[in-house]
Amino acid sequence: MSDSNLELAYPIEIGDTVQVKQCLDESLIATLCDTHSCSTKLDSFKVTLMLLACFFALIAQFTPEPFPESRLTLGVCVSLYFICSGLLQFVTTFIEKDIVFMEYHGDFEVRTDLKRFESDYLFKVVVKGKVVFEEKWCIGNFFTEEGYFWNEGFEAKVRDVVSKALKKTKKE
Amino acid sequence: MLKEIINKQISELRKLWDNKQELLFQLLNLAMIVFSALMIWKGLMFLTKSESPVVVVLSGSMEPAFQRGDILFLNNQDNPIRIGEIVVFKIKDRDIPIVHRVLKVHENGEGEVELLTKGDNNRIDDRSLYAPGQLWLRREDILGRAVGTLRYVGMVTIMLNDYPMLKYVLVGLMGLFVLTNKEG
Repeated sequence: MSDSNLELAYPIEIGDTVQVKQCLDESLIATLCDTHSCSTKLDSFKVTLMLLACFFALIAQFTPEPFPESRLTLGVCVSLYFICSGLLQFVTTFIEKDIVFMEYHGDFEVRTDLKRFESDYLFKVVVKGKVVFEEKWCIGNFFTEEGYFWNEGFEAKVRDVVSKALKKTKKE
Repeated sequence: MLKEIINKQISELRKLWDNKQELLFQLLNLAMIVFSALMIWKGLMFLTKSESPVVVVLSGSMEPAFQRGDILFLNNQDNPIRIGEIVVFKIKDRDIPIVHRVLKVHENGEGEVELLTKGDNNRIDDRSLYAPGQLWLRREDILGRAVGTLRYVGMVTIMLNDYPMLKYVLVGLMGLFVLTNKEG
C-alpha cells in the first residue's frame, strides 16, 4: 500500500477544523508527490533558521564564562535568537501563508484554506502568481458523520482538478 | 476514551517516525518552544544584570511584606543599595537565594560596601545564616533588589520542586502534545 492510499486507522473529530484541514492537506501532498516533484526550498530554509536559532540558544546556555562576565555574549545570542525566530514567523505568516504544495520547478502551487467552524475547503491552483483554478469543496463529501475519511475519493478529485488546471494553463 | 486518546497518540508518533523530515521539523518546533522560554530568561538576565531575575519566596521570613509562593522581580543595576531595600542574596556554597531587608550599610577600611540583612518576620539579623566567619554581605553576594511582585503565582514552582515526579509528567505530556499536534 503506497503512502497516497493511506487511510486513517481512526476517525477524526470533524468539528475540529484544524484537524480536518490537516488531514485533507496531508492527503493532498501525498497525492501530488506521486505525480509531481515537490519543492522543499521553503521547508529547508525554515529548518535552517530553526537550527541557527537553536545554535544561538545553546551558546547562550553553555557559554563557559560565568555571569556577569558573559553578559555581552548573552545579549548577542538572545538578540540573534529572536531575530531568527522573528524571521521564521515572517516566512510562515507572509511568504508560506496558505501554500500546501509547491512544484519543484515552480510551475505551480496549491493553496488551501478551511476557516474555523466552516465546512468549505478552499482549493486553489496558482501558476506564476495567478490563480488558475479556485473551488470550494464541502468537507461532507469526503468525511462520514463519524469522521472516517474517504481518501480515494479525495485523491481522485485532486488529481482531476490539478491536471485540468495545468492543461488549461498550457492552452493559454 | 482514554484508550482511544493513547492509541491516537501512539499512531501519530508512528506516523511521525515514518516521515523523518516531519519528525525533524516537529522536534525543532519543540526545541524552539523550550529555547524561547530559556531565551526570555536570558534576556531578562541581560536587561536586569541579575543572575536570577525572577525568584520565588520559599519561606515566611518576610511576612507580611511577602508570603511564601510570591514571585519577586529583581533588578541588579549599579546604583548603591540603601537601608530598607529588599534584596536577594546568596551565601557561598549554598544554592538557595534568600530574600531579606537591608538593615545596615557601611564602607569598610578598603572602601568596599558591606551590608547586614534581616527578615522582617525574624527576631534576629542574618549573621547566623551567613557562611562561617562571615559577618557582612558584599555587593557581589547580592543577586538583585526586589522591584515587583506577583502574589502566590510561585506556589506552582514550589509544588513542582516538592513533587519532582509531577514536573516530569507535566513536561513529558507537554512535549508529547507539541510533537503530535501540527497546528499551523
